[in-house]
Amino acid sequence: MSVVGLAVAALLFGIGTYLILQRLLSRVIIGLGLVSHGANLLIILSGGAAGDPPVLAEGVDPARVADPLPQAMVLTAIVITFGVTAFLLALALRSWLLTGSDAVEDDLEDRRIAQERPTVEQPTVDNDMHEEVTAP
Amino acid sequence: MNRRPSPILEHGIVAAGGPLLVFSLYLVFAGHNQPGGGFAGGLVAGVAVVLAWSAGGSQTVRRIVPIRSSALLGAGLVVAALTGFGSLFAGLGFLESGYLEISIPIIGKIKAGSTLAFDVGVYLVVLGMTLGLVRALGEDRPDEKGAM
Amino acid sequence: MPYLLLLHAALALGLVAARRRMGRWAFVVAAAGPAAVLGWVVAMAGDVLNGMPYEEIVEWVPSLDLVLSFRVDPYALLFLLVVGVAGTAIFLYAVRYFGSDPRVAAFAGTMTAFAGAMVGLVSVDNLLAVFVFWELTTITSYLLIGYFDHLKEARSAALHAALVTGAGGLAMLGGLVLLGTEAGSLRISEIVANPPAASPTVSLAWALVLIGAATKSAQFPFHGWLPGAMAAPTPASAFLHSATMVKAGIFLVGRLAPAAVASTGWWRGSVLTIGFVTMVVGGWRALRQNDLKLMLAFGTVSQLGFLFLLLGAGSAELLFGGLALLAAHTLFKAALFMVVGAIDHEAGTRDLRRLSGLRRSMPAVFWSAAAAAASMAAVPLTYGFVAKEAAFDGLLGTGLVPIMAAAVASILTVAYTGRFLFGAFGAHLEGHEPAGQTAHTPRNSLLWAPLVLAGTGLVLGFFPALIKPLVAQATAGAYGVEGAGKLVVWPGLVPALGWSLVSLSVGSLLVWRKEILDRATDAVGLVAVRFPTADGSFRRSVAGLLRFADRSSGLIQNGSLPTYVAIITLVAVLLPSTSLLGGVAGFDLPPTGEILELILGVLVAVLAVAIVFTRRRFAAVILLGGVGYGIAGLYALLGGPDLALTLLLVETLIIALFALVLRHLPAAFTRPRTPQALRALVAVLVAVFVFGGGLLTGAARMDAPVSDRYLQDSIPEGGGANVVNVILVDFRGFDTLGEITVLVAATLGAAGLVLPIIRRKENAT
Repeated sequence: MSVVGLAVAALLFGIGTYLILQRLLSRVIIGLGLVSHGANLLIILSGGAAGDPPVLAEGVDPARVADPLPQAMVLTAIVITFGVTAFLLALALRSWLLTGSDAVEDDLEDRRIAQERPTVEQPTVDNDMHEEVTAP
Repeated sequence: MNRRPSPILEHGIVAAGGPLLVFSLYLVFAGHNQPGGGFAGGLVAGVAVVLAWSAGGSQTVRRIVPIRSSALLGAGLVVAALTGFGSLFAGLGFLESGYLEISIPIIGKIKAGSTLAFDVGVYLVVLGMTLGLVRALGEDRPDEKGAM
Repeated sequence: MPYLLLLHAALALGLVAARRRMGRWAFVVAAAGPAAVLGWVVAMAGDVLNGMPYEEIVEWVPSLDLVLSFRVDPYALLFLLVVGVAGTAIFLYAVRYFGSDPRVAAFAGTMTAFAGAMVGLVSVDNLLAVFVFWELTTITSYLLIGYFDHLKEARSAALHAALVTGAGGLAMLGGLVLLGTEAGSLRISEIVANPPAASPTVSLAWALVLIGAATKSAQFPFHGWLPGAMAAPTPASAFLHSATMVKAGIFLVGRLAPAAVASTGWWRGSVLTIGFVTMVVGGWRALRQNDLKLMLAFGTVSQLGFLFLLLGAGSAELLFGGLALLAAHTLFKAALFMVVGAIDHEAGTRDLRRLSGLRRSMPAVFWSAAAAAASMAAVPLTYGFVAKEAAFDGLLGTGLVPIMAAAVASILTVAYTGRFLFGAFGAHLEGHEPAGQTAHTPRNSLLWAPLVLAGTGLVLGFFPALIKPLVAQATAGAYGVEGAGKLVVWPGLVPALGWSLVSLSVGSLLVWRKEILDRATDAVGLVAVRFPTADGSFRRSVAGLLRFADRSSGLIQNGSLPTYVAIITLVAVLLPSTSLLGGVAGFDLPPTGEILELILGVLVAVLAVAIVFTRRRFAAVILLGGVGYGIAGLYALLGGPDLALTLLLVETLIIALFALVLRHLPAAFTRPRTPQALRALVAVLVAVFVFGGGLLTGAARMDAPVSDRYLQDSIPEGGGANVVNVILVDFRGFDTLGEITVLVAATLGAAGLVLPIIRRKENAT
């Protein structure tokens, strides 16, 4: 773990989040890429101190190599990010081909629900009052 | 972007693509002992596919790699999964490695085994993925005409 | 027992399925359910009363310890008996109560399901199974109360009952789970045998269980749903409120009271207070009603209060009296509800101010009502009297205040019983249109079902020994005490008799000199009307909840994806931050790293910042690639050549794929339409969180890394020197297999998203 590495990871997270909060799908995808970089870097950094490559050739001291487990995880994550990015790119392309824009518009259904005022069903007969009433 | 595949460029690409493919295979075989492996190998092969696209668009890709991407994806998955079950049948745990020592020219003696077969499966999937993506996203625009 | 439950389930489903062909005669079929329960009780009674409880375990998910364990001891047997007797009578009564409507058969099916749930509830030994049946009764009661679904009152009453008992059920689930964890067992019999030691957690668990039971049994202040539930058809009211639903809560407190008293200090006091308040409030409110059914409903609230405290107080003497009274309550209350149904059926109204001359036109109905009412008012020589004597006898041991409160409630009971009887069968009041002149005695189950139940009350009044073994054994089973009370026709000159006679005579005085009562109720009513009623408070809180839900979801779910992402991100950042800040133990600033690392870091940072400001799409992609290459360089520095290699390749391919897509999109981003300050704020918070969290967690490593083993085993076990690769293809190979499956799915998905559209456009041109 080094301060420089950590600062870079934090910066990538921040900028990535900012981009993910945009409406244009292409910017969102770039933001996701940055957050992934940040996350992967963070995993490597939290794996411990830097060291020699974890390749046990002749003359390599196993005590001095970098932790291989986070590396294996991150390698997996890099490739998965590739797949996810490609999928999102296809999504953006589809959006463009269908609507002529890659902006994510508001969900009209959600907006309608948010503006609607619910009607509360109030019983007409209050059989719990002290006035004398007859139940239905 | 309505370009005709230029024969010269195409030949150049094939010329460059060949060594790239060889290198990618090298990464797979050497990956167990040196940096490399199925992922890196598959990605290098994927770079070759992208080069083919840049030479002449999706038609060139189809001509040079006449395999369906889904076939590669399926084959890769089957190989990787069978490796796991193979170990199981051999009396080892799922995906536990067993090996033979074989010697291959140039690379030298390697212990080939179930792990190598598994890496080959990974390689095929990654290559199939790149190929499929390039074909899907790189499909020519409607006005360019040309069938998949 | 499992077959008994299956029978109910099959009957319920069959009746609902065949509702078009069955009509009201469905109730005859449905009566097979409670009748079978009754038969089972009779068959098992010998063994169970001789100290051999019925036990059976049906394995369900043994690995999760989910088993259906049945255990019927005398206590459960009493409840089964109550369900069986009341159920059979009420189901047969319902045949004549309803007209012919296809919905009636579905209603019969629902009643059967309800009865089955109740049977399950009292005979299982596992807390979670109890909860499942508990909720089943809530759901089916919702359907039963809401039967007249064209009436707004019925719908809102059903909802009221379901919300109150459902919320109580949720509280109870929490309590039961806590209780099970603390006691180390979910089996009721084991918890009662070894109650958990007192602790705040255990107290919380018991409090939650108490809330659940109180809502179900309509205890103050949750009693509002019960009178509302009178919107149900009368057979359902009779079944739910005399024998089943409301008895579920009482069953549970009675079952768990021995353990609760052992592990808390406050249980007995709370149960006594709740019970007494409910008794008095219910009795008082019953006096003010003009609708016979509502009067019975408030009377039920009052009686339930009494039963709740008797069974829940956790003493053998009170339990004895409570169980005796419980049987009495079922008999007279079911009979009276059915009488009201018959009156309603014949006279067309239940308003006691209008009913007139029914005593002459329906004498048989009058006599069964009188017999049941006498039992309710605890007139000597009825079973109600015998049971109440036992209850008073137990209460005398508790102190003066309880017995006085019970006496006040008894006076109210006598008063509203008189009001009921004279109101229903006496003359109509002046100023009200008389009704019921055309009524005549029904010659079918509308008459004899209540008659049989009321008559049973009289028979037991003379021969209480018939039921005594059951009550005594049930008490002995719970507390291990023999002879906790006695059930006798005439107790002799004992203090309890004095209290009974005082209640009876003062109550009778109030019936006789009605004006005293009217003046008193008017005076108290003037004050009481200023207090919120249970029903009103309930509706206000529901309306408030809906307003709150409406506003908050309007704010949170406004349809904008960036808002959703921002909210999710903020929650993900702020929640862990608070706990991180709470645990700051100090940390050392980690080393700065090598100079090359610094250079690469600055490069990456500059490129990343540039992405925000560029408006050209392709430039942004190139910058992203640059960031990726920079990170790859960092990986190489930190000792990960595999990572560096892979990342370089992936970045190259991603740029290529972007390029493929960007061919179609415009070169520049459109300007954002909305201000960006909030987005920037969220972004800064995330960055700060990552930095701070990284510092703290980086300093918090405690265990040796697991990869030491991987490093050792890599060559001997995995046969490879590149440990990262060996992890991927061998040690964690299964994960990798999963990963490449994801890759396949992503590829097929991407192709499926794009290719059909392109082909369609091709075909169109």
